[in-house]
Amino acid sequence: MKREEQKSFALMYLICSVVLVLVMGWGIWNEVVGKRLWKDYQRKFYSIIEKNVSKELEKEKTRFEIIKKQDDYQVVKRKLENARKEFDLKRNQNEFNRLGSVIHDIRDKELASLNLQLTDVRNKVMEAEYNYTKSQKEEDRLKLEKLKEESKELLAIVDKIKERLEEEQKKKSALTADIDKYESELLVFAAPLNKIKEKYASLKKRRPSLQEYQLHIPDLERVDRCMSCHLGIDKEERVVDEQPFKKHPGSFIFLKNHSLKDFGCTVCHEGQGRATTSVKKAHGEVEYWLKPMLRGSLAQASCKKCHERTDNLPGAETVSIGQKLFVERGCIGCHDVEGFPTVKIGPPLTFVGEKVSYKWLETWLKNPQDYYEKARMPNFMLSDEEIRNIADFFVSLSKSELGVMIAADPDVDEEMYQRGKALYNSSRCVICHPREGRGGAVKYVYAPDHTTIASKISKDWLFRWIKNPRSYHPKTKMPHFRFTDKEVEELVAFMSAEFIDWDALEDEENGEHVKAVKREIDHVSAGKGKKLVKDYGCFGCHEIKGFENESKIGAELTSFGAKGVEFLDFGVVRDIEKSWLSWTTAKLKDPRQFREGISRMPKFTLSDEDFDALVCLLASFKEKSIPVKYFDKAMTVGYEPQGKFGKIMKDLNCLVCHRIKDKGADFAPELTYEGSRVKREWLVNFLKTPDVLRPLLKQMPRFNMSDEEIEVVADYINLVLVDDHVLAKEDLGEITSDDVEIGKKIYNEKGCKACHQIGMEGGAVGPNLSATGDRLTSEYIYMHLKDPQKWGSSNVAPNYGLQDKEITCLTKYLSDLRVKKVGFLWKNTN
Amino acid sequence: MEKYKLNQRKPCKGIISVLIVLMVSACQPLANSEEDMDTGEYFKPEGHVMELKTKESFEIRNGRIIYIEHCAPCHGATGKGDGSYYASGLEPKPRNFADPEFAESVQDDYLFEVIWKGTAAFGKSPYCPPWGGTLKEEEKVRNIISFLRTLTLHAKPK
Repeated sequence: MKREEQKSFALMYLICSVVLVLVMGWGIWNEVVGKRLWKDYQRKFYSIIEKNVSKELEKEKTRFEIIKKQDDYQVVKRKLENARKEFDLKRNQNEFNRLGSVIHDIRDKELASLNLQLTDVRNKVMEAEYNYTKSQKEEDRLKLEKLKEESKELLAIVDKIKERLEEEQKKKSALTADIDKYESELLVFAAPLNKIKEKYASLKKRRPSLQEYQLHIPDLERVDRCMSCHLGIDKEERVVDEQPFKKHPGSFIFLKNHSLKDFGCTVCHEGQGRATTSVKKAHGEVEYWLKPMLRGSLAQASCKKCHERTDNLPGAETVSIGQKLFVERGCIGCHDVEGFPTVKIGPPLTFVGEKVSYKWLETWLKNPQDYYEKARMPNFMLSDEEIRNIADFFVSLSKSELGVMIAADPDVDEEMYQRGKALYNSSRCVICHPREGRGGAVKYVYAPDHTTIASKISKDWLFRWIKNPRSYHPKTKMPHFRFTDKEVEELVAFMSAEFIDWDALEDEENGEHVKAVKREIDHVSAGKGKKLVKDYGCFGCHEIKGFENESKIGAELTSFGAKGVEFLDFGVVRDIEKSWLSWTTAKLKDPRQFREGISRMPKFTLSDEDFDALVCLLASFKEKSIPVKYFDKAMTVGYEPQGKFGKIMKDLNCLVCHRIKDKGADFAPELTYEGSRVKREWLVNFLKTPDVLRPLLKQMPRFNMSDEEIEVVADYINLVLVDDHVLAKEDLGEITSDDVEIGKKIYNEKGCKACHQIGMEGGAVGPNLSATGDRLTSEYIYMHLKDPQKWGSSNVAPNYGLQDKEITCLTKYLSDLRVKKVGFLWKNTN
Repeated sequence: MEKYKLNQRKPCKGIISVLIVLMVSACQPLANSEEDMDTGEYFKPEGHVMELKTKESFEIRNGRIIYIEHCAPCHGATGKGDGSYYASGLEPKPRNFADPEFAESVQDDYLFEVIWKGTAAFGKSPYCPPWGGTLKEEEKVRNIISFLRTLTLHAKPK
């Protein structure tokens, strides 16, 4: 046995050191290569660019080959060859050489020595000048004069020699002038090729270094390294349409207004901006990263972080549809969300027992979409007994017994019917109320379908409703048409005979359906109904007597988007992915699947796109930790006209279709500067009897306003709704027939009639222009033609980029279109 | 002395086995990351991903929005050149974009030029205005073209 100090540990040390070296090598390798995926991406990206340029180069080369064969190129080339040949002649060669030596002689021998002399004399002049200014003696002055004279003479000689030199040089360059000229001409042909060649050469010479790109935005507390792989994201040119090198789509909306420098990537797209070691980690699509990347249009959820209002915000369409649905479908009725005002979207139900038939109430409660597919009310999936209970309760609120006199009545007076029909048509009810699937052009007005309306509602109620809708439903969107009692009677007669559900009528025993069926109300059942109304939260959307102070029944959603999966109740459902997105989608589509019997949320009938839009909005419900300077606060004008005009406007619901100063809708022309746009005289006539300007489904109906009311409206529009910018062009000059002719020519040349009508001819996308001169101020016409997007009621009007002179003529032509002249004009075109 | 021998070999073994375990485990993420790139897993995300069901590229979505607003009045919502009553009187009739033959016969660049400069610039009727001044962004027109290309997707070529 050797003693401890005599033993050799060499082998062990060798093994250990080899392992150590290997581990170190691996460590370095892993650090430099293994964890740096982006290096491969960057290499690939630069090679793609190179490939693209080389492809371009090849293309350009073949193009150049074709050019080479073409005549213009050949002609120039031949000329160049001739010029070269000419120059190569001995005579010319000798002359060129001789001139060269002459120039050389003049420059080096004659001029050089003279230049030296000149410098010398100039120095002397400066010296003499100094002396004279110092001494102020006469002799110094004389000396200076003399030297000056001398330098002048010398200068004259030098100039002469220079002239000669120039002449000789001219002669010399004249010999090669042709060659230079044709060479530069040839260069024009080859210029694109050379440019690409240069680009290619510089790419080949030096590839950009591989490096990690990082954006640090201290204000947002973000560090984004996304651009280490997404190299093409902010490039001007599209390199390849494949991730991760794709250019950011829609950069004219997104990157242009949100510079990478100030916003980075993850503030909109989420994900794990710092991670670079794996694609999944970088996108935050790993289990414990709480903010996975928002892919595709889901990223619009982030618009809401800064933009208070997303309607009409380009690029935020999905989330703004979601918001619209959220409000319109009454989600607000049950769920509180900060920033969303509580609105009861449904009609009041306190007197519903006097309005509709019991049978209809049952049909409706069973499933509103079965009755009317555009119905906003969701399906509460009630049992037949529950339906009866609720119906009983609603009727019991206003009456002691069931049954109403239904409007449906096939045998009305023929004359009344005809007059009612005319009135129904001229009042343009069809704009909002669809009939057999047609009409209902205003998308955000959910007016009931008229097809079978008479079998639904009571005759008495219909009369009162048409007379003044606000007395029943103060927040209705239906305008208060100023009908006389007789007119209302005629309308009711027409509707009673026209909109009957014949199937239902046949089903019932003869006539029994039409007449009221009286029955006592079961008070036990009504009591049950009251409890159901409370449980299902009907008061969230409807005014119901006795439920004025109830609070919303649904969960608060203000920070729902940030809810972790562990806070979501998957209940009995096992087969869906445990993620926020799949839970939310499943919940919206089938709200009660997680806990049947406990969940009370109704089922909404929406398209997949609409569900997605809602999901997108829900994802945006997060705490907003954005610095104030990033915040885009909505302009809150809070336009609320007071006095007589305000009252009329509310009564007619003008803002359901028109927009005034950021409030209202875009179905009809904006009225913010209507006073500068139209002439008062026309306006008064239009309000009295609206003449047909637009397609019938967009044509404003006649509200039968009194003369006094019309004066109020016209005065208000004329005095308040004005904009001085419209009047920027003050004087167009006199309307001369020459200008009008030019304007007419432009009108025809530009194809305006594709969209506008004059007389009987033309399309109906834009308004009818037959009486433009009567309708619009010429200042407005001018501004509209100059910038139709800014001054106009639709985004569609194309900007032709007309010259000022052309606009003036066109304005004059359009101003000249007056009612009296149209007939004459129309005849002329025939 | 037996005791020493044992004591010496044990730590040695331990170190080596620890190192081996370390190396094997260290290679694991490496293998994963390579897989990421090779199998193109990047393009097919699965699990724990936030993406809407109705996914449509921004280009087509945006193209549709612009198309519906600016083009559909004449060319119709489905591109058949049947823009309801608006374009009924136009002669020549608005182009049918749903016609696969037409779609095949035109290049994207040509469509771009026509939309940007208007039909009049190409010696056709002046009825389709130049949209360049209105849309202002070239990308918008490219989006419209992306959308137009989807109109013929379901049509069978004759």
